[in-house]
Amino acid sequence: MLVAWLAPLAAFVAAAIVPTIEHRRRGRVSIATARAVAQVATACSVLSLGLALVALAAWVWRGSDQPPIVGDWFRFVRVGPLDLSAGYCLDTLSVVMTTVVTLVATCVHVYARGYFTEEMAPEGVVDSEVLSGTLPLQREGRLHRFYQHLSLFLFSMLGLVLSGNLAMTFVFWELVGLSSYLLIGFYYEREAAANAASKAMLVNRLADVGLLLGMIALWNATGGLVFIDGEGGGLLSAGQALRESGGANYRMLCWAGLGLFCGCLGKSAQFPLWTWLPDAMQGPTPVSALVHSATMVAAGVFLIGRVYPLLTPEVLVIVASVGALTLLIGAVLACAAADFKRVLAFSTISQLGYMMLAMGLGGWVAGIFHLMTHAMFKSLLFLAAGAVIHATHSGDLAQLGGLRQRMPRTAWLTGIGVLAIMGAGIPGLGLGLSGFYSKDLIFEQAIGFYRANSWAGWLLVAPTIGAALTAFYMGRLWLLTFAGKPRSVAAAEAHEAAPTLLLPMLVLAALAISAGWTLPGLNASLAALLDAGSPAPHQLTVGTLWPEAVIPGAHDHHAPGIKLRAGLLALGATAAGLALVGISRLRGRLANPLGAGVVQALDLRTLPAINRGFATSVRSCGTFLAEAIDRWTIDNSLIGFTRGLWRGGVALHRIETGSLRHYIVFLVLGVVFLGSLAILAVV
Amino acid sequence: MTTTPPLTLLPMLVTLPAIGALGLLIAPVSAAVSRRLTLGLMLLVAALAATLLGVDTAPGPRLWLADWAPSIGTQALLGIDGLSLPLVLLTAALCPLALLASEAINQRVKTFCVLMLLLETGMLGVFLSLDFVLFYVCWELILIPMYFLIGLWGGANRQAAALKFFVFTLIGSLLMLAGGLIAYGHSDLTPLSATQLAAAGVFGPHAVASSGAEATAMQEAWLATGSPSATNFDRAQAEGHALRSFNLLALAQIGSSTDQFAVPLFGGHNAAWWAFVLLLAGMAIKLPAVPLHTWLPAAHVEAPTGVSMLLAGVLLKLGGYGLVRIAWPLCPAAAAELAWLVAGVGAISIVWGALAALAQDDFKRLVAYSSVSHMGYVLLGLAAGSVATSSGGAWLAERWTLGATGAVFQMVAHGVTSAGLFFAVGVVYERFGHRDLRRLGGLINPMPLGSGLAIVLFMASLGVPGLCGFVGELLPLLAAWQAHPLAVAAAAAATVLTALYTLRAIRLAYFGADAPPDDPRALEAKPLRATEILVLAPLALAAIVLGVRPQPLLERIEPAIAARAHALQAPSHTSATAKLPTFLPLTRHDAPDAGRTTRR
Repeated sequence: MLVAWLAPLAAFVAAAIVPTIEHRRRGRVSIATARAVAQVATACSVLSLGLALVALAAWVWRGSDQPPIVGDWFRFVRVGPLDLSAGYCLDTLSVVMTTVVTLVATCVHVYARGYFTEEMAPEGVVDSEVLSGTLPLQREGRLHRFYQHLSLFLFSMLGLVLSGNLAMTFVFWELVGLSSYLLIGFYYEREAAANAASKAMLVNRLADVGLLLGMIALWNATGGLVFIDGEGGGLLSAGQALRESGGANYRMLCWAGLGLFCGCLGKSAQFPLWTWLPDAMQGPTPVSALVHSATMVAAGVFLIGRVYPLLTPEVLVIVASVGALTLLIGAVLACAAADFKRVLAFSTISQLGYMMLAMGLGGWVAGIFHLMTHAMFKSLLFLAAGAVIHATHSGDLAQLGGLRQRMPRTAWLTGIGVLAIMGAGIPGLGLGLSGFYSKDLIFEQAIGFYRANSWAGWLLVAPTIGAALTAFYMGRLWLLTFAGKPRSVAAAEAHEAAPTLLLPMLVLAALAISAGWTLPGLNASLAALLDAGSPAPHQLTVGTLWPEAVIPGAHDHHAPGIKLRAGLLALGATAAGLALVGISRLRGRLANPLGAGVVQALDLRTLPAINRGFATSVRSCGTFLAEAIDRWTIDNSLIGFTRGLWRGGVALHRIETGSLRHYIVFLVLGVVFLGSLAILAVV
Repeated sequence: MTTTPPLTLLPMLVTLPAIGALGLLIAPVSAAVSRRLTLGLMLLVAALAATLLGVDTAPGPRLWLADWAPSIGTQALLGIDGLSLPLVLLTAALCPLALLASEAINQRVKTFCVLMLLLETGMLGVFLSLDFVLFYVCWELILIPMYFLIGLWGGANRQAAALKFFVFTLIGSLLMLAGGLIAYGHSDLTPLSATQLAAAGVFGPHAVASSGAEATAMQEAWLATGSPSATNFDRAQAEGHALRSFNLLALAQIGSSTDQFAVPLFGGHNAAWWAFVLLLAGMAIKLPAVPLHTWLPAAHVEAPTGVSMLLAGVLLKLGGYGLVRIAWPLCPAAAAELAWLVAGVGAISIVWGALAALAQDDFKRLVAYSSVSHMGYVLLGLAAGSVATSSGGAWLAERWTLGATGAVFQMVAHGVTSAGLFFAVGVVYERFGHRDLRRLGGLINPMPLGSGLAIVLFMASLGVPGLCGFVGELLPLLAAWQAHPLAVAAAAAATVLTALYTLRAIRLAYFGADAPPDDPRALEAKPLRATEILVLAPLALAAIVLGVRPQPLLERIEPAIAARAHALQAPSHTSATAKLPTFLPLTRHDAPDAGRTTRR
């Protein structure tokens, strides 16, 4: 399957060509070049999408329960016992992920052309958020740089998805982090953007320490990092064998699994490392749609899905608990946020929490399925946010309102996204938007898990509360933006988005509606496709160290009665949330719901203060080492020591004047002295 | 074999810059001409060094030999193998770049060129010599030009910094010398087998024996030549007294296959232990390892850009190279015993350097401290294969192969990135006249190419995969996990600190708003000149190439390390005088027995 290889290569060519063009034209990059760069990058993205679709079709035709296709591109490192290749692994997970990634990426590539009109203005860009002296900053457009970073991101993301061993995963994992850093810092003149970029990379590095150590531990325990090798062996089966055998390595496996999960905490913005994601909204909105909602942040969930056979029940319970906590935190913060994109950022955190929860409960299919549907509706919502910001130059909910009249198409498309994320649908008929199917699956999983673990009630309560809060904050967001009367001049004079913006939104909206559907007549659906490729064991697994942790089998949630209950639970929670929105609206507290002050203070003041305090204390620790120890203690004691030596020597104090001749004499004397000593000692 | 360059190339490489320096000293040429001549000579040396790539180093070191002072057991023995080749290439490539980077030097240019050439001779000499005396002479040769280069062309506090550099490294080299002399004083060539002597180049540079019988025949032929060293050998064998040697290959054979160094010296430790400790201390100063590192930031802050590039790019590698070349092969058991210390010092250096770098506002001091941090990985990698027990001997030798190969790779990677970073700092300093990060900012708009290349190098230093720093960090970490999990965890945690100071530097220097057009700063921030691109671009390119395809370089390094690791794997000490239980690994003969008792 050459396809898998060509897709990232196409994107990589784009990322490699662009800087050369840019650097050739020193001084100023002309608009024509920038436009050409954008076209090349978009063409590559379209090509990747086409190849991914071909691969998907081939995969379905081949039968998705077949063993994965694996192989190597080139040897990366082989030293002694270590043998790493740049390898790929094609299975249901990677093929479907490739399709989703390239699809959203293509939409964003097209969208960005319409979004960045000011970057292409011949007179340069005026950035009103930065002052240069007393005037707003004026700078040259840099559309080419945006597409360069975007291509690098797409290349890295595809590499991450397709990689066939943990080391390559780590390589591309870091590279998506790097491209995310560059993209968040696109407006690097703005201090907030530069800081947010650094923060994102730092938090991710912190989490990646765990991933790195987990990888090192796994390599030392199993001697290889290839997920699945040609003979059906590899890391995953070795890890599964370790898990099933129990024994001394079981504990190590738990630690390694926690290490890997630690990496996912950062990338997927889970508790306690979520704070970088809201800040990352400083990046351009198309980036937020692609990187910080649909693809990169989902990489943590993807990795959990990839290494699923390595995770012991103990680790899975921790994954589920962190996911549940995160989904609540994200949802609460989203209810109080005052900025369109910030609401969406917290909503992303919350939905990622849902995915982690599902994975931890043993719902591999539910988690990955939700990842896919979420990619559709959340990127749709972000693109809608971009359209609103493009039209009004503001994302502040207090400045919006009444946009339904001025931007009816955007309002409708956003409405579809809102309904999809709420999981709107009719439980009895099993018909609804995409979010309905994936969220129902998570609830089924949660009920199934609760039946096996009676102590874990809160893992069922958390998603229920979360669903109500989701309905609340999404309803609030839509009402504050599109309903009512315009609250600012910009909102009153807004214009409908251009077709280049609306077209990608339309495509995503169609998918946000239909991604969960079963193809009529064929009985084929995304969920069924994933189910056939699921690595989750069919029988239940029990923890060795902690026998209370019971992970139900992959199909246990099909037990009678669960489906209907799950549907009713989700529907009830959503209805409650919507009722809450209605009440708030009637009382006029929509913009400022109960308790919002406390939550906002936490979000905007307390947490950043903790971050700053941490950074300051680390830095002062460094100052202590460099000044107090290095300069004063070590240097002075050595200087004192050497001075003492000189003074003790015969008339050698003149050496301090810096005459080199004396040193050479000293050197020769030293050589002779030590040499004769050593020889005499022996002979 | 017709394509193989002649090995007389090796002495040519070492002496060519020195001859050039002498010629330049005598010839009445102007500053510009001497600069051009020096550059030409350095490029010639680089080209000659590049032909060494054609030498097949996989079977073992390729030697060149001249009798020097056979009576005390020293020869002019030069050799190239997978260990020295990458470092020789690095040196030969960095020297012309460093000269190009010294455009700002306009006083006493001729003297500057002479000293740079002398420095190159010394550095190449250290990497190529396989005789301890020659090694030491070249090691000291580096010290003197470096002292003057810092002391004459440095910044405001250059005298103090040069003196500090000199005193520190002088102490270091004396400790190293003492260690080497201890080994020399206990060495005896006569008990070695003919095969071992042949491998050490005792019978001549080309006498590599494929079998024991062939080696014996060679030995007889050699003894029959009646050369001074052969006569000495004959006499020593006949009279039964020891024949001392400075031949590093022979000393390595002695260290790994005999118990000559296992005689008790004092303090309850034997000669090998003391030799190792002294060598380690001496080289740790050069590396530099905490707490012996404080000369480095001072020297870097004062040194001119080109000199800083060589100081970070090559001089710091001397310590690591010495450890791999001398300390470990000569004293494998002591190295195994003290591995915990080496790993600990390595981990502390990594964390300490990163924390201290974080506290700096001087751009150059920040990069200098980052060097301390990165060289810690060299120590960590070397400490990977530590416990030389018989039951896990082969496995641990594999670990050392991985760790030490990673350490050598890290040296090359750091040579590339640190030289590039010091140059990038130099570019900034030349334009603004200061290096205070708090007063910089927004450089990426006026100088996009320079900032882009600098950011590539910073990312390589940060350890972003796809660039060279990542491989150099990953291999030591993977290798050392089993023996020193805590040190590895500390080193892995320090990657956050590395990111912290690197991103801080990028944010402060390159990001942010650039100066408005009417600000005098805007005039100073000129884009890179062609010469500057010529220096920075190859380094950034090398960082990418080494990061994406490390395997060709690793393939060169690994056989040399593996050969050593194999020698480390089964040192057959049989002495009964050991006072330290771990010092005496069991012999091959005992191994199966030991394996059984531990398993059942």
